[in-house]
Amino acid sequence: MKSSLKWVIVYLLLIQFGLSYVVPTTWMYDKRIRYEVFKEDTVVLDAVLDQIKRQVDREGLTDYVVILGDSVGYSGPGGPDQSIGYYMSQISQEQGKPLTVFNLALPAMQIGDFYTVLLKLRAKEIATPRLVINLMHAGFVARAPYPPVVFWLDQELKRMDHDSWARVEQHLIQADRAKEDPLPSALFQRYVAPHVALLRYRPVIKGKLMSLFSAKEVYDTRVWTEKPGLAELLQGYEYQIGFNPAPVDLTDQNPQIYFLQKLMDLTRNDQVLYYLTPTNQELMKANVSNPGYRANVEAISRWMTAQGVDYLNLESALDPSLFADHVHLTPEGYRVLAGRLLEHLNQRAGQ
Amino acid sequence: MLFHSPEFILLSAITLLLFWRFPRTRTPLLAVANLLFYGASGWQYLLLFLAFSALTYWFSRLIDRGVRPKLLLWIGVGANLLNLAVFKYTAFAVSNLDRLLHLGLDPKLFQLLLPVGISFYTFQLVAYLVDVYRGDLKPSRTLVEFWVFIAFFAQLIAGPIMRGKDFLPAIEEHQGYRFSFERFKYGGFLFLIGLSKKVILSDTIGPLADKFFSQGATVGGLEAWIGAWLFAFQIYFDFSAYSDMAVGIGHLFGYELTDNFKTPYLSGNPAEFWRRWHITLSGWIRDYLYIPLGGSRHGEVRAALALVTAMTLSGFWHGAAWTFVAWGIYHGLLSVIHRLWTRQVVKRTQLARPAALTRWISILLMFQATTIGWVFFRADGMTVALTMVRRMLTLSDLHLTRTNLVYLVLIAGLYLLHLAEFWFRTKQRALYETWRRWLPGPVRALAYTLAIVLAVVMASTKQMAFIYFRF
Repeated sequence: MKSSLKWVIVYLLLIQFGLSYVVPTTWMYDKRIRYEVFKEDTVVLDAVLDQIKRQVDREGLTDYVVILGDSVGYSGPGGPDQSIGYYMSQISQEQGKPLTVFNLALPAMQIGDFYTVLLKLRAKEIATPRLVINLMHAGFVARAPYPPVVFWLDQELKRMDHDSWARVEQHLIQADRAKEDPLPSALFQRYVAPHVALLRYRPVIKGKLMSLFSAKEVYDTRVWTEKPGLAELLQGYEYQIGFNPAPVDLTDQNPQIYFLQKLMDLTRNDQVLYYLTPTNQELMKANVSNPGYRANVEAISRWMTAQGVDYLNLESALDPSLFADHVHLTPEGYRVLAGRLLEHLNQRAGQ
Repeated sequence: MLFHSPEFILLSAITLLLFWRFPRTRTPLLAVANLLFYGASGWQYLLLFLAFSALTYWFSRLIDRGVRPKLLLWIGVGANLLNLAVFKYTAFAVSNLDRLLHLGLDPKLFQLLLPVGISFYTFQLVAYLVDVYRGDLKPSRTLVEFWVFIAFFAQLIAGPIMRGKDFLPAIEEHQGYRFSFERFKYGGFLFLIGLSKKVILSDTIGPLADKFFSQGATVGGLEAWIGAWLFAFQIYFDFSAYSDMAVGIGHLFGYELTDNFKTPYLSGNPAEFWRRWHITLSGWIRDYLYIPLGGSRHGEVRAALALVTAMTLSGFWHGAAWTFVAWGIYHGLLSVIHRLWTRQVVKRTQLARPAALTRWISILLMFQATTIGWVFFRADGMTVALTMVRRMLTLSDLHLTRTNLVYLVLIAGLYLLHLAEFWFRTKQRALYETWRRWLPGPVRALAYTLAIVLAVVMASTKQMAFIYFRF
């Protein structure tokens, strides 16, 4: 037993120091973070960032794009080969100016999550020479209390910027977040888990194992007009609240504004492009034609411009035929959006 | 506090270290560990548990001294059962009264949060009092020793239900225990086996079974069978995992806790099933319900009635719902049918002992009968349970799809695993010797490492509680 124990320790050390080199990046990141793996445990984000850091260092990259965002940045409901990041790389390649894109957007991510990802990037010394961040009108409206302003990464935010977390603590508690672990668990999560490779790569390996038993994912990228019942579904409260026409609060009392300002402060030296996510003007006609909503979109644009940041209002920029639902796009829609974003980035780079 | 949580591992590690380092303080140490363990679920529940433990201890001393023994027994047993009834059955009683008498009461207002482990510790307290009253057991010498016995943190929440005569002597003698590395290793091995059953098997099978049961009454015949089979394995791996871990922790401290499972799905009849499934509960039901109800001493009819009553109460002990009562009645009837079969048919006709083939057929049939019972145990309500069982028995609305085929292969694999467990347990010692003698250290270590990796990888971030915690 004693000799076995010695060998177990040797093997565990090998895993600790070698795992990140043997787990293929594609198990966790394929043109974007694998959502099913991230859902299992958000700790996978650290593993992905480690791989990005390694790639940046290995290839000596100095000019690349990092995408932060929600399900639109992630490019649902399409697959990885139908995502914004993929199209941006492809188009830039076709233009003879190949560009590496790291897409860190994930479904349901909110502005507090974007900020926390950025903190992680900083902590791992991964530069963000060019950032593309998508914003939605829904993010600016009053959260009552859903969706929480930090949807996925509240514990990470608590660890990395306690003041910001404390600022939104009550809101997070109301939104059923910010649950306190017992002390040993909290200490374990804080001081041990992030440094144990097996724990960091646990969801990645589990995801791979489980994928052996599950059917290949089918992406429903049909255009919205081919989806019966969608219009009725979007009348639900959780969708309608995002189009709330009540005037948005553009002071830092609004957690959206608070985190946006934090984000801007953190990226003053980077080229950051914020864009207001395109919305299906035909499907959501009743909502987007509401004067209150329109006034909000204008007010958001004015506020963003006043901050001196690079901002694109794409809210009504895309043809309804490019949408899969109210905000998500068809593959062609994402290709067009990627083209618009890339064009803008290139223009800025040329200035 | 779950066994696979950092809190529990820390508590156990510190307690173990101090237990073996300072033999003289073992009793107070374990008493404090029990307090910490149970206190983590809420100090109010801890006070309640302490109060009933103290009351039971005090009554047991008085009974032993011959002070109104019968009266104190009744009061002690009654008080413990009342405690259980108030927390577990009030809302159920109100709901049924309201349905019957239309009193306009809201059962939710009477829904109390169930103190963890209350069903298990109540049974231990009742058994202890009865054993002292019967003269089968000398009462514990001190309240602290009694607390260590009744609240031993390794088995407090979901058993095995320990009897005073099995565990108290160990506590009284544990100051003299010498550390045995072999035993410690075996304890760790059992704990790992249990942990693997829980995180690799039970927590993975659970969501699959849930998928079928969530469809409720709309599932087809085959899907109902698949859901029920999956749940059969989920509950087995889940509950036996807890027991393996509890027994394993017992060995780490040098104690021999009673085994609770012996590959129950290899039972050929209901009587054998209850000798292999939740063994300590079956023993409790036999000694404190079935035999006092008359057992088999007053003829077949009384025996049948006693069996059905005992099993029904056992079902009701599991949960305050008619589905659990139905599950108990179902098992009671199965036992009665089996009893009649063996007494009236097998003995009278002098049938030969079953050959291997007959034995396997009876195992197969008993497994299906058990699986049908699990539908009552798991389904959300009697209507769903009865519909599912009807579909299972009539094999209506069968769809042999590719997905169903995959599930059937999985279920067959799980059954093979169950067989492998039986084989492994019966040949444990020889296998261990072979393993140690013929495989070099690095190879054995690789297997251990893979087991650790697999357990870590498959563990859910959302720690899933053991099914039996809710009882």
